[in-house]
Amino acid sequence: MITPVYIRSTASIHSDGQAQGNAKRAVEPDYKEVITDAGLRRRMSRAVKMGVYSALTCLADTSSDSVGGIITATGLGCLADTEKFMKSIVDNNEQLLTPTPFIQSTFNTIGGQVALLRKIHAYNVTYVHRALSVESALIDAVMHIAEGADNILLGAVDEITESSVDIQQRMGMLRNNAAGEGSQFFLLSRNSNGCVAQITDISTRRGAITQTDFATWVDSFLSNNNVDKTDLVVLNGSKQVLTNAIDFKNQCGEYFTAVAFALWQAVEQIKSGARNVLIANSFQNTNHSLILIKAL
Amino acid sequence: MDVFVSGVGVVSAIGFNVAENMQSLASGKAGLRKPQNFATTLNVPVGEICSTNQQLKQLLGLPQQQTISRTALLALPAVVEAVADAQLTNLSNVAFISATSVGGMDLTETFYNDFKDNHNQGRLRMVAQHDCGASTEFVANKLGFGGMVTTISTACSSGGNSIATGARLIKHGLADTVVVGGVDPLCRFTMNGFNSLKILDSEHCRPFDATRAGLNLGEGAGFIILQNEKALRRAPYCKVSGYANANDAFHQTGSSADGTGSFLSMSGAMQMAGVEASQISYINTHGTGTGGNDLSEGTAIRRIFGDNVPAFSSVKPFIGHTLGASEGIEAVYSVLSIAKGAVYPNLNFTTPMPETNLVPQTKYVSGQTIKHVLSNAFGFGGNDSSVLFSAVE
Repeated sequence: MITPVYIRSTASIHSDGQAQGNAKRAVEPDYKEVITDAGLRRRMSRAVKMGVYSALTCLADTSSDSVGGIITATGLGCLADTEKFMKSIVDNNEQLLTPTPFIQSTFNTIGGQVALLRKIHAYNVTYVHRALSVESALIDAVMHIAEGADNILLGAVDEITESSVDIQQRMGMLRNNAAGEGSQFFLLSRNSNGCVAQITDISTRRGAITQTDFATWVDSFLSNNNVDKTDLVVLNGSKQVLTNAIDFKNQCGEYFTAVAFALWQAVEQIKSGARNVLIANSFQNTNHSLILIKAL
Repeated sequence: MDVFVSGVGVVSAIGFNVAENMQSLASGKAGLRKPQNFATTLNVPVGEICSTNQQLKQLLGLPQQQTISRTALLALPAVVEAVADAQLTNLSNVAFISATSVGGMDLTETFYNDFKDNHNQGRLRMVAQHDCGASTEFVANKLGFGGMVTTISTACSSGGNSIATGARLIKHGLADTVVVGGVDPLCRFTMNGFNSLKILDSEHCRPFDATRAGLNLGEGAGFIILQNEKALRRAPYCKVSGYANANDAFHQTGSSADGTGSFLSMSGAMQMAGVEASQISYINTHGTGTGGNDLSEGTAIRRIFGDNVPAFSSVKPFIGHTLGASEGIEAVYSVLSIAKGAVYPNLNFTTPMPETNLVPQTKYVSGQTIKHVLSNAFGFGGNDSSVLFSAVE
């Protein structure tokens, strides 16, 4: 059980579910409406643009002084810039390299850019632990709010590149689903006034898990939180069979921080009248999580 | 609730364990040399660990044919040493928060040489450990850590944030014992990154010196064991009494001249602990040797301590800037500063920066009364973290 936190606003850039080849690419917005500096836009990779756009959109009605922290999550970070810099090292034999892709390749680039653009000096951290990155960020946010902080900006970003799709394809990771990407940000609050949903509980597991154990885990998680299964929407990102579940990865594709898309979708479900939403996620049967969202 | 430090483990250019590191610090023996374990045309000193990957595998009893990133090979011995030092026996509820800035980049670089021009080439096992979580999972699975396992990456401040997050897990009752720290290997990617920013010194770095000309990169791993009182199995070294994370929000890579972020992180850590500036015994600075960092950090130190600056130094001239590992390794040194009453020398210092006129500690001393040690780690993205270690009363 956790201290409940409330979702004040959300922003998302995600796929419409249509795969092109083996990739479900996000439908990108017109960035210039939010990232107004043309030079900055030009220097930013897609991951940075998606992240900064959705973060700034989520924070649009919030003053910088009132932001209590920026917590980001990413599985693979800014892949395009990483590859661009790596290629330049080889192509130019380590001589006279342009630093921009290196600077933007660090995993905390997006959190840092948001702090810089909005002049937010508050707590700022990035979690990078495979398919538990978002969950780690959420646990940190919950701790911060329990410690008295308010208005925690929490977000996740991962991007598709041609290389990442080719590698995942060769690894056999795309047999059941296309590669995915996206960026979601959430403004989390300590009080419910003006909020749209509550994050009620979160549970994580590592290592292979059987269908039976997964089902038992789901049942005890729901009963611990007094949730009636007949009054529940299930967003399933695992290969486990769950009754009446929506396969959220069918839309967003498979990637390390896909659960952030499910969290955004859960809020949309609540806005449409759902009372309880369970997100059940697994990645390659190694990282697993359950997140419960409730209507207010 | 008190958070105690009960174990330390470190691997760096000046030693493969805690005892070797302390001996080198005491004798003023720097670990910088020209890179030998990986191919680079950059002719600059680095804090390289002598052992090759093959030697590390042999030392750790790991099969030679297994593909393991240098990141994981450096993290494992430091974690094993810290766990043994804290006399931990049952690891099934132990949490593990690691930190790294490059993950398994050393393997990815090799993969990429083959993959670049033909996406059907390159051995997949060389890229499977690219992500930052891979080395954490490797170590967690080797030791059987059954508590929360995660990884933080905030560039050069990563290790500091790992310590703070671990302390918070304990305070929130989410763990009794947490292994925290960081690891980073040297690799062509970061070497060339810092070189492209023109902040690598071709000589040994000179933190806080007027003639400083940049940093030397290093590699290694440092981990400490945090525990609540009931989990302790030995007398602790000290407590983690405060920590703070702030963002400079000035520039993606540069530091503000007035030290906004570092002022906030240092003063925040002291405020949490209820410790006054006059009570700080020693500051283990970030002190990279770049023009920007040392000016920014020095200015923040002057803003907080005025004319009564405590003993301070940068250990970067010993081990190089170990990026995500820096606050892991330097946390070990800070903890032992309290335990041994030691203050480490800032090598290669001759002339104070005119802007701050700060003079660091230049001689090793031990047997002092060291009650509160402030340790800094600052990084790209404006990420600034400070941790305050305090003696157990």
